[in-house]
Amino acid sequence: MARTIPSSAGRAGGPGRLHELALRHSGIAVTSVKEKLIYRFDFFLSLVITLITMTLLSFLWRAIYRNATAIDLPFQALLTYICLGQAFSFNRIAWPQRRLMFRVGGSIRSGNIVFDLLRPTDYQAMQFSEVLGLYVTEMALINLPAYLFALVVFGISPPVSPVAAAGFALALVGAFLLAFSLDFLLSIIAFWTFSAGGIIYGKKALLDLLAGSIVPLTLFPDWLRAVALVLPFQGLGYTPIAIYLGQIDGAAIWGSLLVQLVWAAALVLLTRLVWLRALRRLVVQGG
Amino acid sequence: MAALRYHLGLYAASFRIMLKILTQYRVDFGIMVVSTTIREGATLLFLSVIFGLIPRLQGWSFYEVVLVYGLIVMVNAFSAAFLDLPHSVQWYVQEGRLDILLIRPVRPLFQMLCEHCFNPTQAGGLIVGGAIVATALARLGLPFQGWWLGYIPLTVVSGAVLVSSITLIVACAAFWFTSIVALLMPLGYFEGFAQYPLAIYARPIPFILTWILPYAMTAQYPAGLLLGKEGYRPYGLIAPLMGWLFLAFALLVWSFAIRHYKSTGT
Repeated sequence: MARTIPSSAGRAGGPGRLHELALRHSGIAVTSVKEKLIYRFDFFLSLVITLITMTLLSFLWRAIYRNATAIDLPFQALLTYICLGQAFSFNRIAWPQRRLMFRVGGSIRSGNIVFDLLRPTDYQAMQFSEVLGLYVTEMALINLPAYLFALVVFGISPPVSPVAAAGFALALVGAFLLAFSLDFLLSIIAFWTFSAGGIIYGKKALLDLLAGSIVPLTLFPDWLRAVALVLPFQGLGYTPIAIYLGQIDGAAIWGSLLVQLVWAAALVLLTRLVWLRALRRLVVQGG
Repeated sequence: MAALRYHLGLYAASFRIMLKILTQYRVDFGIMVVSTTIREGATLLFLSVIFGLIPRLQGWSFYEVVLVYGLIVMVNAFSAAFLDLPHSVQWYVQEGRLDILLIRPVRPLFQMLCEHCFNPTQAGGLIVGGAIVATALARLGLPFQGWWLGYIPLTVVSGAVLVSSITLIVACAAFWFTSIVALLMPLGYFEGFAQYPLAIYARPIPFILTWILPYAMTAQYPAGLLLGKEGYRPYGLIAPLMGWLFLAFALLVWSFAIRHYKSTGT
């Protein structure tokens, strides 16, 4: 069965329409949060995992600094960087990521996707709102507590200035847009496989490094930094954290936010194209 | 003796069935190999970036840490390819599939082992890990010794038994709680600590990694023995026993936990 997804552009436009759309998607976001709040335990353990990794990395980097002769970055800045990378990670293997991977892939395999496609809302937009809801929840239940933990226990530094704090918050929004498109793209690949788990772990290892969240990009060897800077993944970790620390400041903040946004837009477009192609090839068994 | 032959026969039969099923998923195998390669490649790259900043990490050189990592990859691949039943305990309980196993005249845990006897998509890690270990040993310029051929496979197998046994012990919580994914996941992350020299950690952590959740026994102590690291020899010698010890403990916990099984009735 081949079908196009219901287009929302076909219906009457206007501000009433926009209001309805906002209402509908906030409803989807809130529902996905309510659904997942039942699994409070999972959120709690996601926080535990984040703190475990943060602790591991802080021990590792402490040892690296003990064994190093000269590293350009002061240890306090490094520690702040590494802890932020874990607290505000867009690359966890937690609900937002797992949800897309298993939901999209799983519903295509089972054929249940027809029920979602029949709904009068664009499928991708629906997934977007659900994942947005989850990320907002993650921000409140995991990211902020982990950040507070790092402030108190590891004694990391606050943002260098109010401007840096604002830039950081904006860059997190950009990072979310990037993360959603990347995960959606991967979940389409997961159509063809039962080993979604393997893909998630491979992606995590690669992106942790290339996002610059476990090693600051500034400490990379030159060739690797050059590679990381032409790829979109820096927007997931390095961009927000470097703004927070004042490594990127002044007008350069706007520049790096723009780069992030352009990548996000390009990836949304790419994901859209791949998704429409995948849908055209979709065969659903009659049950 | 007859019982042993009976069980081996069952295991062999499951293996044949599994291979037939799995030929269906060649694409999976390709994707898995690619994602494993990406994962190990990224981790090695991370290590090389770190060792670009320092010559040694608490006395361990780059290739020494790579050796530990290669062994970890092999151990985890063996565990995931042949002994990956602990992760499905909760599905057996939740979906009531344990009912079916309980009415058959063979121990349920053995049937579960048969149902997860082989996952070839994970076996690729054995080859990748083996290559990492071989490269590290070659680069370290250690003279080859005959006993390695016995010791390394032995540690890989018993390390895999150890990892799976720890997971099984925790997975028994499934008989009391509905969702234990969140209990099992932190284990994998904690295992990451064992990848780096124990000397970098503060006090309770090396002890925990040695005796409580002895992930250091799967790769780091054996690697220390191979490299002749000071203080590693006695641990490296008992490391291959640890897996079987924990297996015995896991079986005890399992036989206690399964008595608390309440069928979902579906």
